[in-house]
Amino acid sequence: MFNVRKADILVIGGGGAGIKAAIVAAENGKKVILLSKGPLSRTGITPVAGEGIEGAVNPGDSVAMHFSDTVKAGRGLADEDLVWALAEDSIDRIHELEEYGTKFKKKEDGTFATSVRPGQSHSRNLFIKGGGWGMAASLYKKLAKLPNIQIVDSAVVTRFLVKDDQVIGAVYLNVNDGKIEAIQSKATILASGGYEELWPFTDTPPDTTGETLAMVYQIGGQLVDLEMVLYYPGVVVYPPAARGWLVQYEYILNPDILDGRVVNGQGEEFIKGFPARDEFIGAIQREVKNGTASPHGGFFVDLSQSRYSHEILTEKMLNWLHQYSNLRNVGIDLRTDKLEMAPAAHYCLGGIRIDDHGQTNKKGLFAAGEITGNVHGANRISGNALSETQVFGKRAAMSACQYADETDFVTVHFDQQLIDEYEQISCWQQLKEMGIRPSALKKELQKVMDQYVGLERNETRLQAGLVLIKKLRDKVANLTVVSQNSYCYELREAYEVRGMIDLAQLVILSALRRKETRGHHFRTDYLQTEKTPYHTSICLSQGEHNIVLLPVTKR
Amino acid sequence: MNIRLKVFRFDPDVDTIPYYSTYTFPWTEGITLLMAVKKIYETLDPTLGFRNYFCGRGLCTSCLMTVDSVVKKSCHVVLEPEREYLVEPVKNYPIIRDLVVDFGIKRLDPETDKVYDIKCGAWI
Repeated sequence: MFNVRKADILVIGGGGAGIKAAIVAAENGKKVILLSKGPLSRTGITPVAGEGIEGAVNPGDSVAMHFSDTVKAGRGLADEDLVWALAEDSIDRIHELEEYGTKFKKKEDGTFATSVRPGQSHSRNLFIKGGGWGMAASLYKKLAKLPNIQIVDSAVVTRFLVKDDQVIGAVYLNVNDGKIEAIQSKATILASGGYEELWPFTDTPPDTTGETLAMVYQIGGQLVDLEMVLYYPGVVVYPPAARGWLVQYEYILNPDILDGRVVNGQGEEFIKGFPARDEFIGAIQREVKNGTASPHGGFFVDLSQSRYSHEILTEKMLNWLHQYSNLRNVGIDLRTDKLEMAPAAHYCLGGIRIDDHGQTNKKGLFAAGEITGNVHGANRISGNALSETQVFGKRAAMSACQYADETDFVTVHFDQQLIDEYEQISCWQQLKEMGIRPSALKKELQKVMDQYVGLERNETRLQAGLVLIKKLRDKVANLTVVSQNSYCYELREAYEVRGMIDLAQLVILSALRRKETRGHHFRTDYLQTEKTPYHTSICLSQGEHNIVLLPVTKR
Repeated sequence: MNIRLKVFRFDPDVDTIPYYSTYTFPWTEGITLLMAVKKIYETLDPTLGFRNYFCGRGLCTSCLMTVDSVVKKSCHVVLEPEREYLVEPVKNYPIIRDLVVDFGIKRLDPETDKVYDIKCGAWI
């Protein structure tokens, strides 16, 4: 007999949304278990986020303006009830962050310092000291003071537990000791982030594999707009020591901050003004097509013609851009060195569909943060991601608490599910003639996704990619991992890559269905943007992938 | 040109005392210690344990290691060719395996000085 732990609320994911949800649930007197892939504030995507968070805190700004900017930036694909929730709640959530100990950059009069980002009608981007990490660390500090919370900081979820069409918990592998454990919950909150790791070049951590999204799909979860992957225009590609680091172009181009330029491979300025992310990507693609991009398919940052002196730039960078001191640590000086940047997978706009209270289409299952799919639409304003974690982390937790109040633990036995999981593990641990390591299979998958499902897409390439992904799927049975119990990371990677391959297939099917160009989805065979926007929704129906188009919710 | 890493090894399930493994592989421009350890895991020795996480901001300290007796962020240690580095887990944390330590085993409430044990879910 296996030991099954019980909790009112199970939270999956240890980033900003997951911790916020756990705090809210615990404050409501619930017994909470939080599963995280790594130690809190050292795991998930929140710690790698830049310092921007959005909220209409300034005089002259308003919830309505935040709302309409976000809807506009979403290129018609954001569900407006969710955007309204985001704009309305973010102000209070920012004040709560401050109560938890998050430090914001302030003006001399004590009000929040802000800057304008592309797509904003008002200066609305607040600065968190220490960036996303600073926010995650203060959330963790708050969480640590609350009773009734158990944290497993070495967990990868392997399956959901479902009874009578209701999610009642999850099974996970504890990577620290190699044991399979089950948690039974009254309500489950998913906050396990995006799936950027499906592509080879990202500025997100290796945690972002998205296998929980594939598992949600298998139990009937409704996923929307999976093809919408936000590429961030400027992530370091060269020099190699800083490869994959985000250096925000919003600071570089802003005349009030660094007043820099971005130039193509021939030293020519190819961007004017202050473009949104999808527009910037489009400009880079034109350079690539013309053969004038930088050697690694991107552009160079140039501060030589900034109106600020060397010394003022130094001061500004130390004050505004902590990314700068990290570059210095590996020997790069942004003021004089040529830094080469290119687009990288940065944020997954698509994911599980929620309503404005974080409820998914599955009973007992709630979701918040990047794993959700209908908040931002086809493009996202800088800083709205961190607001999203707090707004929907709280909303999902409130709904989950209410659901838990109306629910009792059902009597079930999970022994067979746990035995199945151990059998899967022992199968992967066997030596095989044609064995492949999970890390190698991940690389094969990333190569396919890069070549066939990258920035630019068309029917032929997507179909070819689909065939290749199906072949990779056959290799999952040949996965071979080392037999270890303590910190069995390779076993975690096996679970990850299995989910990644399943999810990759869903991403391609969704990309095929969207026969238009919108936001971050560029179709070379369908250049037009349809007049009426729709979500691509994918759901498992009697073992078949069922893709339908859904209208966007208007307010 | 090569790099040599002499790496601390300990698996509590099989080892009674720690030992060191030495890995030699070609140097590449700009390779950091974190990249090098990942490269060993992916191409030379799947049994090497390390935390595969990086924030790219020098903030998260997930990749802390002790390098030649000094605790450093391994993502910021740019390796030089033709040198041997001694790589050990970060000091003052319980070792889980090899370079992996338990950062989150206990948390201290700064107000009451009580220690919360996350494994048993109670203040002690």
